[in-house]
Amino acid sequence: MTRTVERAGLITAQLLAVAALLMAWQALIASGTLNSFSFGSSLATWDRLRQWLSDGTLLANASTTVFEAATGWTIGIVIGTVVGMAVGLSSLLSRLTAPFFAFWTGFPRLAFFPFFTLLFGFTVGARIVSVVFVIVFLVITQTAVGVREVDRLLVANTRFLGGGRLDLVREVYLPASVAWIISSARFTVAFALHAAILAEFIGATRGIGYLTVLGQGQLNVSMVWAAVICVVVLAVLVDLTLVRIQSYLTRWMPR
Amino acid sequence: MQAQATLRAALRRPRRLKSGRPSRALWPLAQASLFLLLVVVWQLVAISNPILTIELSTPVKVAEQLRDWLSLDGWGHVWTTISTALAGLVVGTALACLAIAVLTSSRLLRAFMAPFIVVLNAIPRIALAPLFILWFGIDERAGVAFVVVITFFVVFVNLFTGIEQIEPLLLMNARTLGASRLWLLREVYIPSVLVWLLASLRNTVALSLLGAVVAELIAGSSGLGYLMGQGSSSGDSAEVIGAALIVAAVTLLATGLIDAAERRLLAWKGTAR
Repeated sequence: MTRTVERAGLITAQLLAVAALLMAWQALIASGTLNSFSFGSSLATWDRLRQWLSDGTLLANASTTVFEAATGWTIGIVIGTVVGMAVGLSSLLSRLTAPFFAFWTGFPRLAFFPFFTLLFGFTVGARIVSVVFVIVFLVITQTAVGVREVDRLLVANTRFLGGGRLDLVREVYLPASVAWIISSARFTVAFALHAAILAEFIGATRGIGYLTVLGQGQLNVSMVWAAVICVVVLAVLVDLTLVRIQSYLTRWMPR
Repeated sequence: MQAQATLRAALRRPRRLKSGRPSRALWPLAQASLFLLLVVVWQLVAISNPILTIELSTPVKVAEQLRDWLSLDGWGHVWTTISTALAGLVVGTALACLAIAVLTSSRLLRAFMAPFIVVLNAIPRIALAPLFILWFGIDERAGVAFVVVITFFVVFVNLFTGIEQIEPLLLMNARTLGASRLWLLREVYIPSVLVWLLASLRNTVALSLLGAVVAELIAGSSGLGYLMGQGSSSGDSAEVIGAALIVAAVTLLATGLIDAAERRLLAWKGTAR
């Protein structure tokens, strides 16, 4: 009984805190204590958000960003899983390529987007390639590790029953890789989103990153706040969806 | 049972390569040859097509660019990025420790802040970069502030999970034996925090360098990220690749140092935990 009361009390307190913060922000702006130029006003931010929602800007730009991130993520996962499995299955390859992958992990992949603009111009393709570049090495290393950690008995049994390399891949490693992809999805998708938004900061004409930079260029802090809120909502929504999908897909697993 | 044990033993036996045991020195040699092979392929592909030469740049041009930088004014840029990353790292970590110290004092406070922390953690920090540039201008301070925010969240979340993972039985036992809060702080919390800090330092350092480079890339007037941006706008791939390589080298150096320090400092840990 007290637990529910405590929970209800907490949620009320949290909502009140948020409301108080917003009101304090607005009051400080109105009274001139806080410079509205530097901090933006919550009313202006709210107006901007409503405008974006009603005239479809939000939907159009958000879907661009999501499209770039999703496409890049899918391609990156496919390439990464294939390469990662090849590397993981062959001890020769994994020892040979270990320092290369260590190098690429320390490489500033997120910041390397300018290189892809030199190759592909300021296009959606360049952004997607950038997303792929950012996540592919994560997926490769993680898949390689996953391959090594697959239950040896499973592998041995498959071999016992006459399975060759191909059967092993099809019956043991591929299903296992699906499990790794799912478990790491929250992480890799977050990275993909980061990469897409960052790529939109430079030379884009659509996307939520573009909206942020637009506000920055116009010295309009309220617009930047509005864009940031959109990014936050998008990220949280994507994360929640992934958690749901993850628990649905692994519902057969013992907890 | 017996069959499974034999099977496991068989799997554990080291596999012999068909051509006999290669020496240990062969691996670095093979890796170096692979690297050289890739560089040569890059050079050949790049010079085969004049467009590709410009877009991909050649290893030779990148080497020349690096030589130019490192013999003249490149060091200034390197130092800017490193100092921005370092300053942000230190301040961000300190703030995170402070926030954790405040939060550990009250379970109610922790429960109150929990959803806010989840939301704040879900913010793609990258998206905040333009905000900082608006506030601080095209200046190192924007970069430092950006890195502070990035490191704060990463370290804070790491420490938060670390604190929660302190063996509650340990705490209960200590309290039963009459341990005061101060004692707990000194003997349990702080060592735990230090261990977690060190463990996450590798990632945090790499992240702070990346954050500094990103901030400089978007709007900076100096630093390695700025050089990348310059290369991008002047269409010079050699600059972009060269600057990225320097960042990679610095990151690897920093992580290497941290690994060495970790081995030294955590030698006492052994395999007990």
